[in-house]
Amino acid sequence: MGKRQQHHDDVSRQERVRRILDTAAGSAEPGYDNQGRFWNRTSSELEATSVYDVVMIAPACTPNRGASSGLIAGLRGERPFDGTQFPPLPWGGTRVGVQDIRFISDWIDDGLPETDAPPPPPPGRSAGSVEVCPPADETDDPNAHRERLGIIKARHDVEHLSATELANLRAAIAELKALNSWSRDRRSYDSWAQVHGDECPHGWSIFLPWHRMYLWGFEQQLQDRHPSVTLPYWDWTQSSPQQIADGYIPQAYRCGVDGALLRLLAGKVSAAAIKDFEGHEGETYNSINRFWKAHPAIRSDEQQVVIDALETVNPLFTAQRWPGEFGTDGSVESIFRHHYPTPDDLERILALDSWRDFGGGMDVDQSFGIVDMDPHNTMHIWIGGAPEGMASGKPQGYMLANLTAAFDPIFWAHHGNVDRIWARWQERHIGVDPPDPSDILQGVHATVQDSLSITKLGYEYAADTHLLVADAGPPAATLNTPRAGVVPIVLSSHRRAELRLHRITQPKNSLVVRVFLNAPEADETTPLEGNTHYAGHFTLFGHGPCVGGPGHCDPRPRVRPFDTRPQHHNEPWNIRFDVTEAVAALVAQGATDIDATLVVVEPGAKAGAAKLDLDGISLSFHH
Amino acid sequence: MATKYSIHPAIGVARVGDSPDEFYLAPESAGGMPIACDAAGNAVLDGDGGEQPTARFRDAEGRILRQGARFGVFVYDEESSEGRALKMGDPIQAVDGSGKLVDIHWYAYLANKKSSWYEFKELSGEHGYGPDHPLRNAAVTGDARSALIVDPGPQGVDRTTTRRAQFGRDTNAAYATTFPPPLTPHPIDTLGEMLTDDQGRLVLLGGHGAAGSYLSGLGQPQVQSFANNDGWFDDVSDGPVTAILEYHSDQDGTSRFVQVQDSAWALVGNPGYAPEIVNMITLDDVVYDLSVREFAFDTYLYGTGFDPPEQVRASRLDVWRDEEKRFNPAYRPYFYRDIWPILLRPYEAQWTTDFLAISHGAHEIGKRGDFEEAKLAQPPSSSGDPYHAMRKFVYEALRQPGDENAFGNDTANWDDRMYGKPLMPLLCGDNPLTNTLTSKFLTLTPTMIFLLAQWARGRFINERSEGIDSEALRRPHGPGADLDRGALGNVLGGSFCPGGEIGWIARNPAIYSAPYRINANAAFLPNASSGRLEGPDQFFPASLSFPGDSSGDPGENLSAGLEPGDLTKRSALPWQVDFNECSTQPIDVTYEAWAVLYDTDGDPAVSAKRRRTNITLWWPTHRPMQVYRLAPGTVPKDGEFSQGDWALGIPQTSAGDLKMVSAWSKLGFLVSNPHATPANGAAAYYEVDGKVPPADDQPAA
Repeated sequence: MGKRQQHHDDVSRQERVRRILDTAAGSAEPGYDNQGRFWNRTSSELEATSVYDVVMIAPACTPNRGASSGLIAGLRGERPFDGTQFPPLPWGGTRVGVQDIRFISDWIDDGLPETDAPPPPPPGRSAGSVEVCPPADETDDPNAHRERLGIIKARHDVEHLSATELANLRAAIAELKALNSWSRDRRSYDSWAQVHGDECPHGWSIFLPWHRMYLWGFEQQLQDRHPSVTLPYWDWTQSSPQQIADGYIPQAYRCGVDGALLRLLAGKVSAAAIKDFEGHEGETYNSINRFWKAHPAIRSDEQQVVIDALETVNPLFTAQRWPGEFGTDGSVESIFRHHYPTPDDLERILALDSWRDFGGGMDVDQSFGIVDMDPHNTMHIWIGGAPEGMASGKPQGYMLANLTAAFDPIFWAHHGNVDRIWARWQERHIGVDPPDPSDILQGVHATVQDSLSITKLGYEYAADTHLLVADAGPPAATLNTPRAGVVPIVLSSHRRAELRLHRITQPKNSLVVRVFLNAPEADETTPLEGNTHYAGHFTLFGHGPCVGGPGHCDPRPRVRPFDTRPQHHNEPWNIRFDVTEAVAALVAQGATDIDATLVVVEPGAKAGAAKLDLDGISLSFHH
Repeated sequence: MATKYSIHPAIGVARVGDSPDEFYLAPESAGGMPIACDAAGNAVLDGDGGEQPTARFRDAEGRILRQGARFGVFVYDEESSEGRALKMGDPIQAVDGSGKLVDIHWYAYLANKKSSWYEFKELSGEHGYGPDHPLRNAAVTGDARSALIVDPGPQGVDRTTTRRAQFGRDTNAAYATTFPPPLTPHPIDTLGEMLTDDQGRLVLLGGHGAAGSYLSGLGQPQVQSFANNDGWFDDVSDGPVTAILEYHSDQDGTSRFVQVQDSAWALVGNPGYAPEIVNMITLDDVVYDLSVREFAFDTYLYGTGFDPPEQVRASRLDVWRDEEKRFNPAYRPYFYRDIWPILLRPYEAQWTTDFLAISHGAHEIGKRGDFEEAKLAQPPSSSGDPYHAMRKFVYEALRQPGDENAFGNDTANWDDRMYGKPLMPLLCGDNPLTNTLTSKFLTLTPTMIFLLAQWARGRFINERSEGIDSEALRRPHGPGADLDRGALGNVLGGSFCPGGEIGWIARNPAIYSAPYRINANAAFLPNASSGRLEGPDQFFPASLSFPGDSSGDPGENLSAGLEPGDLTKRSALPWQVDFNECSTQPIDVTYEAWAVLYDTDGDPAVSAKRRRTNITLWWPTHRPMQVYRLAPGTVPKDGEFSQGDWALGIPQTSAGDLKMVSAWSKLGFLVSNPHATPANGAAAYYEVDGKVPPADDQPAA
């Protein structure tokens, strides 16, 4: 047994892929379109192989390249290997196990390496000749879909980022940090962080506008590199007492032990340190102190090497962050813990009616706004921490002071939540704005007026967004979405749920669209009364026959930068459909996920004749 | 998915025989042998549990065995979305409870409406009967025409108490049956019977091939036409079949009932004299084509778009039908599943007719034949396509839909070897007889033609060289659908003039509720909707409808579903007459549009000298013409075969037709000769005297 294990370790991944497929093929010798056992070809030959016009390996840069490859679809028995055209692969042999298919798929994802040398750096991090792949699959990155449609993007709760969203955020931040070597490059992360230290106004009326524009500018900088990236927010009011006691930091910002860390540290730290990490892969820690505590074998002279590696592996982590750590006597920590913002605090703040109380007084009537003062300041201090006490000269977290706060990447998520609170307050207090819209926001090249609408700035806040359908395909009379994959906490705790229908082509005839949730079989005969799956309807006014010449009724493409004309009469429509109550009713019945079915009904027409043409369906949840 | 129960085959095929008691079971695949069974309908098994083919076609008295149609219940649920056969004792999941299957209550209702129906007038009526369309037996008028229906009423059997029931004149105490008056030469007192085998499956038997006229006097009985004969009745029939499952409830231990969602249909036809030889077009080809093009049966093969193929719900079918659809140009047929079975049919027809002796060895599958298997089976490769010209030749010989009246291939180049040659198949069409809706020659279905076109252009897969076994290529519709297709694979699918077992009604989508499923009018069988079991004695069926009654209705409303007898009523009356006449037909091919020319316009082409006529076969496999017989005292292994007329010298005249009314039971059966190969030229099928040759004549292992 031990020998066989050894044997496996000896062969390359490519060789193991070949052996898996040869074993499954057994003694059968199918022609495979006159090519035989094509998997034994070189990787570049394999990438060029088609069997009866099915491309066996998806092109490089295809999102989920392995899963998109004909070979993997064939092994899994997915269309067209589900019997519609072909039986599953390998023909005449035995089916390949799930683990082995995954192994082959991962090998394809990694570019079909022929040897097991270290992989090249991930795409996007490298410049020059290395191929940079376009954004990943839109369903894992709903903002990529919105970028394509040219509509506002969502800033998401950092607790619910998809792997793709988090990876893109980290990559974008890392790229700005990589510019730090050029001290006069204003695009660098440190240059941006320094702007906050130099310019930020606290304690008066422009606090919220200034930070809104500061975040927006930084987000633009990130989007220059990764167009679908948005700044996430951290809603600290959701932290539980136990999390607060543990000095909780969202997973995305923590340090931890993983394969990437071990590769970076190989040969740079003692064998005892490496051994100390064994068995801890996947573990993450709220602060560097907690990391040291869990890995006592690391010598103090090794610590800086480890910190550098941790900050490289996760560019959102900084060692200068000691959440809830304020020295040994515990008094400071207990005080701040007592004042940690709660959902009740948030409700109290949202109920305030005047800008002065909420956002701060103007310069002739200075008054600290409550948002600025309480959750904002409190959380700065709590996140930053001072492990040896608050006395001067002792180490302090970046977040503890204005001058350094933005050097901790969690700054953006913290301020994202502050900005979100303002946006929610704006919804409840229409027209209650900072007193002087012409006030200059120093250092961020904007006025207060510029900051007043996040919609005009191109974003919104959502706990989570699920792109159910990226492109609905040809017009359909009934549209079924897949399940959204909503996480339980979002399903149970959101304030508002919206089904978004993106860019509906204006129909010729007037239509009614019925919206059903978790009822994929629904059709026009499905009862509406007393049906908890029925979420309601919307009605579309048909544009009727086109009275103009050719092209009169074709919406204009939005391509020219100076084209500021009002929108075309047939501009596709976007619909926000409130499904909050319907989702709540289904959750009360035990639903654990949500899908949607749209049934199009045209008055007077045959069932199923009327069709809806749109560019996407998404489901978003808002706190 | 919700649990669903369904009967398969969706259309079961029984066949008449004059043996009073003995029968075999219908073959379950196209070209399969009938299945041997005991007197209770239980299949005879071999040592491995496999069902045995019948060893004989006649009883000890030399009378033809009937063919029983066997129906079973299949369950579709989470465990098997493709369906599996339901067995006694299996768990039952109903909407209002669950439990264990303890019995199956089967109901069926056979009727024969031929005498009460409209006259057969070729294609007139396919798209509705006009108000002036003549009735059969027009002298019988008004409500009295109900006496023209052979109506034994509904019957029921189960596995525990009532194992057998008759569709006879005097066998239904709960129903006032209608049977014809005394007939000459053969009276009719039954349309058949139904029984259950030991596994609770239904075996349904038809009539005994009796046919006669109630008219008496000088010259009677008399045959006047191939399809319509006033005064006559026959005993083929058809009608709905349903099943109600009885289970012991897990909840309260009581008996509860759940009905199958999809009922089935029984069809009784003439004997299958050459069961192993498949018709050029089978009813399965017709219904498959209809299912593909009208019922979204395989949207990867035919639909609006193919990447991905659309999912069409039953409730959306009417919209899908209105959409623009096409065959998928990327579709690849499999050679041995989709192509070779079609190409083999003309080859195998040579054992039922001597036409190939005339045509210089066309259709040969051996070396240097037009259909040489090894060459036609080879798809192109990166190194070339050596047999493209051979495939193209076969494909270009096909008559395309719309060319029904074209005789020769005038579309090929003048220097093409196909130029001017007859288009294929060279068989009679739906109407080579009159100048109204003329349709002289047979065409393959659009689906068959598409599959062959893909093959001809090289877009096909040879599953054998790809190591793919036929099991892996089963269509995604499950074993129940295999039975549906297998049953119809042995039924004649054209031409329909009026046809074999049934006619052109088969290609009307209005008669189906789903692929292969006849839309049954529910008013003619009991149902379990009340949650209780209402057997035939508590159940009162609706009255069978017919044209010419006092209501003035056309006698049929297809959208309400089919009634018992509605499939066969359009066929020839009696069937034996058309069966006799459908041998060969001289078809006038002087002008495409005209089937009949009258020499009154002075047209010189109409003179006998310049007229062109082609003697064309109707359906030589369904009704053999010339057959091979083994020389006395020899065995097939090294036997001598000689070819002779199959139909006992009965002429193609009205007198001959009348003879066939009795002589059909004397006609011979054809079986395969395991020793024949294309190379040795031995007869691959030959006539036997009622018995299949014993196993010791099989080739050595």
